[in-house]
Amino acid sequence: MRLSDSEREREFRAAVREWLDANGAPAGPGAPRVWDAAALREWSRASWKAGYAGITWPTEYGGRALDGGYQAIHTEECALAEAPDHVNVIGTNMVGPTIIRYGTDRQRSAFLPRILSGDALFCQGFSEPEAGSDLAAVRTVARSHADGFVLDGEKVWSSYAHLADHCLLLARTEPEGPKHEALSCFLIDMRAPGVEVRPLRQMSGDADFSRIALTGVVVPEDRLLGPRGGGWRVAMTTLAHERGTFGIALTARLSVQFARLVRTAIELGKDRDPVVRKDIADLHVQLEALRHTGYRALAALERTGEPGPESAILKLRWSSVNQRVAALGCHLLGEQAQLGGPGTFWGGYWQRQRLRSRTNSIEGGTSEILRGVVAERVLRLPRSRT
Amino acid sequence: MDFYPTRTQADLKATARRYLDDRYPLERVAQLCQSGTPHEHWTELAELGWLDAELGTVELALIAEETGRTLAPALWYAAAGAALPCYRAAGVEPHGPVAFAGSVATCDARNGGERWALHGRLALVPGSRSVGEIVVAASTADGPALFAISSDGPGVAVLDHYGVDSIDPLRRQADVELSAAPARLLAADPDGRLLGTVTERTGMMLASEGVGVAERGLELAVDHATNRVQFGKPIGSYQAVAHPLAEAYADVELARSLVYRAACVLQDGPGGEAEVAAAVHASTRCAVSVCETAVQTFGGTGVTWEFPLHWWYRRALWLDAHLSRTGPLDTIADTVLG
Repeated sequence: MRLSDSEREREFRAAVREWLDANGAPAGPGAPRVWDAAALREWSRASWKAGYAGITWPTEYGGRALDGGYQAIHTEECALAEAPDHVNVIGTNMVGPTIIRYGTDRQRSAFLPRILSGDALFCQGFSEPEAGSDLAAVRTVARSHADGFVLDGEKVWSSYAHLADHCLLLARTEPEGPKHEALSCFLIDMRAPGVEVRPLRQMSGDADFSRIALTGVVVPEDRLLGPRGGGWRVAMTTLAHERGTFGIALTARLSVQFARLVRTAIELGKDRDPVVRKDIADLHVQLEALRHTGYRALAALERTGEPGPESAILKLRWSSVNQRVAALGCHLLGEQAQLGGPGTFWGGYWQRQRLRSRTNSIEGGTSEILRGVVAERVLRLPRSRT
Repeated sequence: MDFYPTRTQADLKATARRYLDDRYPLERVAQLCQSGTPHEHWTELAELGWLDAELGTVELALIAEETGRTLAPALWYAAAGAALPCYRAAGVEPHGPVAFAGSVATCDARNGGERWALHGRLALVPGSRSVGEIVVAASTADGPALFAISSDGPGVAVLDHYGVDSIDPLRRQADVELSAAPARLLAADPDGRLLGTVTERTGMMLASEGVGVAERGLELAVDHATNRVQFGKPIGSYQAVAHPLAEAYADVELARSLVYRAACVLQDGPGGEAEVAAAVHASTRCAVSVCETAVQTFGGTGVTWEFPLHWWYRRALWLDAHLSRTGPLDTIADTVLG
């Protein structure tokens, strides 16, 4: 067991750092930079040109065929440098690997190279107003049509939908039969007639997600991904890919957020307060525990080909620690936390984070669902649902 | 990075588990706890190779997880973690079970020519009544040094005023009063480096033991939740029972990661104080809370004397109190905030 990089990993990390120094936005003091869409696209394109998109993808699809450890290093260094995610993070991390696994040759050549270059930006259309945690209950319908399928329904909580060219979407193709066998996955063109994207504004005021309305959207036959009726398996593959190095990204961003908390405590002169010191020390322990559990899960994945059971807890506990960091950030402000906006400390950063962080224990699997997953799949407790 | 036990390390852990499960089943542990007789299986520890100088800190962590899981009664952590490295600094080996007292602040060593004598008080020394020798960190005119004393030698009084009521009967402690107790010098340690190293090693090992304690508490609770039927269903199918167990699992794995990290950092040495503090903080908190969740899962059975779970809970409480003297959160706050 070792914590240090191998020589090759060390070289890779150094190269990533050097590239980020030259190409990333230097992290300034105070609240982090907000990237607009144009800057995000530009940065992502440069990152692809430098060979940092599709690090683990097979070389035939434009990847570098390196193991997950290198992806983790890149992800971690980007997060620590406060560089943004690749604008096509859903394409590179989730949709691409799913197309590699389930796509036809035509789908692979049509999408994969363009996913890495950022020319085919993807979003994901899974959740619906009536299908949140119970994803298999999706109501969006895909009916057979002379040119393939015609889709009607509504998708919610879709990240990057306002920028996306395509959407990996889960819809019901079979009106009858067991609910897990009635679904299919599609690669939808977001510019097709009948697709309408509207932002979903969160309580923080941010609009990280969108609602996608589908009204009589015609989808060609060859945009069905995987077998008809096999959409559940395809969707689960997509979600499983979210787990690989995702935990590393979360904890690295949490490290940066924690560093902001420490800076805030010092700038506000609260760093000698014994209660604050204990709270910060405790959060630091939790953060390091998450970080090293991420490393352990990654090593288990490399060793055994399966993510270790410990990976199941990363998202669950990351969300609660991130929420506690934001809460402490607000507490440090004291009465100032009554206010918000540009005139307040760091432009109201902690107040917004406090509101935004409530999403953490809901997005990408609610904490209740995740506890159920741990109870049933890891601890092997009897199923709660029949 | 390869933050995962190697094949050899995993084998070592699996062997330890087999041996300890066989040697210390639940009923036997309960019996040892009740009888209160010290049980130092020193020869077996030596045969297992658990006293070898070659064992790395990762190996020590992996074994300590298993000794915690079974509440193996020997004071192995104090011997392998602290006392043996001091003997080995002098190029000697002890003849049997040894305890360790790192009490520089309360113990002075005076040198009358070739002969050293210790004066002072060693507070709450685990095993002081069941071992042959105690390794003592004492201050000399030239800084700290490590000595060996005989636990029943002249000038050594093991005070019995705590009686037999230690919260954990397998970690019975006593204060030791030294008045001109003859001592053998094992190692002068003017910069405190050896003392620091062995203190961090034992802290890490006890943190690892805490992970093992929590793991066993969780195992027992999961087993019960799977088999106990109420309202016509196993209680583990109710989310009110299952979800706290899922959180307990998260606590165990997070603490385990911090212990492995501390073990890796100590292996590469020097330093590691903050990493050990983090492991200790997470592990003691997790050991206590997971045992409490387990007691709750067992309901009425869980709070009886007869059911052995409380011996694990007692170990968790002992670890929490014993390690509180190191002030882990203060150490971390100093590292993070200066």
